[in-house]
Amino acid sequence: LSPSSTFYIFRFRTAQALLGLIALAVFAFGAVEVWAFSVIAAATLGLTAAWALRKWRDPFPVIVTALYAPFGLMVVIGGLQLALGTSQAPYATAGSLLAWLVYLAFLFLAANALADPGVRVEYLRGFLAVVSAACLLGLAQWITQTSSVYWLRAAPGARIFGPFADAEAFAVLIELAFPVALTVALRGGRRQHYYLGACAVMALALAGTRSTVGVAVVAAQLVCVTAAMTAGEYRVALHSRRRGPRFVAGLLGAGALGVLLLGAAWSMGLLRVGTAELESVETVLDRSERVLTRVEALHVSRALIAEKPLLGHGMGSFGPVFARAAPRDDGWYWKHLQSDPLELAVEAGWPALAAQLLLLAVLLLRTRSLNMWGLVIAPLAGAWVHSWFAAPIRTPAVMLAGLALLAFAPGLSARVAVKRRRQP
Amino acid sequence: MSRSHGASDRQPHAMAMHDPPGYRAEPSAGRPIPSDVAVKPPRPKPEPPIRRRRNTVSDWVAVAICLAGALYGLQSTLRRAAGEMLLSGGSLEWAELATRITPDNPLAWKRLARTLPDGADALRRAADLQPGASEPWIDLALELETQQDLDGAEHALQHAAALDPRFMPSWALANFYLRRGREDDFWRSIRGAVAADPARTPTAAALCWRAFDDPGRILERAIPAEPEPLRVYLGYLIDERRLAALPQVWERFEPNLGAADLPLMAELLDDLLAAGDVDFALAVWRSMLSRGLLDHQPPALPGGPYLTNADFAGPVSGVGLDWRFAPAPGVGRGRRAEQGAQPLLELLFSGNQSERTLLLTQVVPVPEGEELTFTFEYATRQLPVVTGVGWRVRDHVSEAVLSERSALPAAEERWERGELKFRAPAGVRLARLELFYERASGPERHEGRYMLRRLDLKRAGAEAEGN
Repeated sequence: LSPSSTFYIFRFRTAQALLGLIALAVFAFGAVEVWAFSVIAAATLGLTAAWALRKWRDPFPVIVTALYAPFGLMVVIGGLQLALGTSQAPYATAGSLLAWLVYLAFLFLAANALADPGVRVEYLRGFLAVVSAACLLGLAQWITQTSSVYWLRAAPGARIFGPFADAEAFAVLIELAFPVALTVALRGGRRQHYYLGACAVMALALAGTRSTVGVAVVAAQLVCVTAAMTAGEYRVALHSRRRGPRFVAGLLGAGALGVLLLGAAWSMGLLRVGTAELESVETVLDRSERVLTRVEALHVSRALIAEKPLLGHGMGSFGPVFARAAPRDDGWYWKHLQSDPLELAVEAGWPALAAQLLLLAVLLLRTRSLNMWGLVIAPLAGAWVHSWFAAPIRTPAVMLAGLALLAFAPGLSARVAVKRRRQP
Repeated sequence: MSRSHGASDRQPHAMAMHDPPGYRAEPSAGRPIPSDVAVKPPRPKPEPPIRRRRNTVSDWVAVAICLAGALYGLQSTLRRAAGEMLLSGGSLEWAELATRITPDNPLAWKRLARTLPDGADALRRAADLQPGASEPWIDLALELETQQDLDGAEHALQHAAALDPRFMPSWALANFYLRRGREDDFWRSIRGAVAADPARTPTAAALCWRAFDDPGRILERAIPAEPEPLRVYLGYLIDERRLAALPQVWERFEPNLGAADLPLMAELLDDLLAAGDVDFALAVWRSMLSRGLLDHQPPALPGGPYLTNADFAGPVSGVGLDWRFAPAPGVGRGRRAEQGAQPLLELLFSGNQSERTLLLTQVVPVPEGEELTFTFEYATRQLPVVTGVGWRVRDHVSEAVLSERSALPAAEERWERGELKFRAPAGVRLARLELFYERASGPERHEGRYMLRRLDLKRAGAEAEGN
């Protein structure tokens, strides 16, 4: 990253650093602990400062994209909540503001570093290697024992998988990596077998997470990406002696992955048909205990959104606000809603939902190539769907991996635009 | 071709034209080059001028924003990380340092308050940092009360209650008033707490019962006359088996009785029947039936009818004075009510039933000291001659057997009439009819069906009059 290096080297080294941060986040328990996130935040902000200084000394064109807007909006909302004193938990809001600032900086760095196609290819290889390694680690742990992370650190009450204490968050990480590996494999490159193998490892790991939503999302991704790639590539493959066999091998691999996913679903009991039992005529009339169900929690959240629709109750304040709205005698409360979009709406009001819709709109306006679908839209759409049933945004490793894929969008769409311009 | 010829022809001349001064060409094998002719190398192609990019004003603004954001983020990250690390220490010095590094962290002030002998100021600071939260004010009030600053504690609790109109602040205030012996203020606060969150009525009621043990006063002063608090309070009294307090609450709650209260009423009736409180149980049962919770005719004392749902015209609810299915693995039981036919109850023995099992029961209010006749019609299908099925009558409270008729003979594909006579002794106002199965020694477990209809319970005199 020295100022004397060429701009390509500067980008390449930045991409390496970002990949290193993602690897650190993945293997440091998802970076949910303060120390891990602090290291990542400091490194990201330090890199941003380095880019700013380089721009100052040796001007270069910066990639400016509308994708920054939703994240910038979240930073602005946090700032407004603090400035206007509307937050119910100002210290937590300041922490959330910092996290969104880090995510915005990470997206800026990734969008600029990964604008170069060569850097993107190297990054993708590294990213898939990191996720595959985490999956292998998770499988090894799952087979031997499931009560502690790295066979050392116990996590009582948690549903752990791999380095994560939350198996649902790990399933979302797989949803981010699986379509990327599948897209690269179906393109029929020289390392096709390696990428198909990575997909298989991820599908097996998915069975270990026992995430129902995860299996459904990855199955949908498999079908959609395979269909899109087949529709886009079959004409070329039919007339190419080199790409034809690889295309067929890719399709066979996708079929095998489908079988593997079916096996994963069966192992989780999703495909078993229960035997009908004799109808019981006994009447059960126990008064149920007062347990807050998921539906009730959603109702409480809806009321909280309606209470403060403009700026919300304060970013990072969901836990205490929810505890006040739905108190229990035993003091137990929901720290997270297990539905990120709604939780964000409770914390930041309707603008948080608007930010998500804005991100979706900007992404869908750029859907110009198969690569865009396979490398950006499919992974992020899958993770977003899953986020309605879980809390993956609260795991920084998942967030950073998603941001890096999102950062592919400007580079991919610029490449398509150049190609179209060159065509007669 | 012609173009290349032309080019080669023109080249020497062109080269000569552009040779730099002083350049001497190498001698060639073909044509000798005179020594005084200087050959110049081709002039290097001029490179396009490098347009050095310059930052515009907007670039400078972006650089400044990036640097400012990064610096703010870095200091904030390091500050928060250091603060969190210090908080994990637990000593006074570390807690003080944490409040200096992260003065906006309420947890740091709270932790400091715990380590200080007088933590009121730290708690007040923590409360100021959480606007809208009542918990820090409650913590502060407890600290002030410990230090005998009672006015300050009351003020803090009232501030918490004003901030948060939910259960907890009012509850904390009520506890404070109870500790101080201010009874009127206590009742007002506890009533406010119950009104704020009726679901937590049991918590408030438990405190009231511990402090006063006066059902009338508790109902009057702590429980708002709203359906939900009354419903929850009724449930609390049932759970705690405070039967003496039930009639007053029932009287207030009864007009609000609805279909959703069926499980609660079932529990209430179970308790009343177990305690032998026949009049109250009958009043509850009649109210349930009149409000449409169940569709049966209520029993009447002393003249009868005594049985509920005697001919199985309605479904078996398992509630109160209706029929109940006792747990009997291996026996299927269901009501058959076909169009135009007499409804009947069918019991299906799978062969896997227990050797002794209870099949069907009903608690029946009976006139004490009277002789009664219980009649029924039954039929069997594929059961052996000694069916193992029989009827028994018990005193519901003491469980004493009043009468029994075991091992009814089979009635294959025909309806047989059976009867059982018993006398309700003095003091016995609740009997329990039990249909049971006991396998006789020897035979295998039976597989087959047992059907039952037209059950009736009458006074023996009335039976004779009817005949």
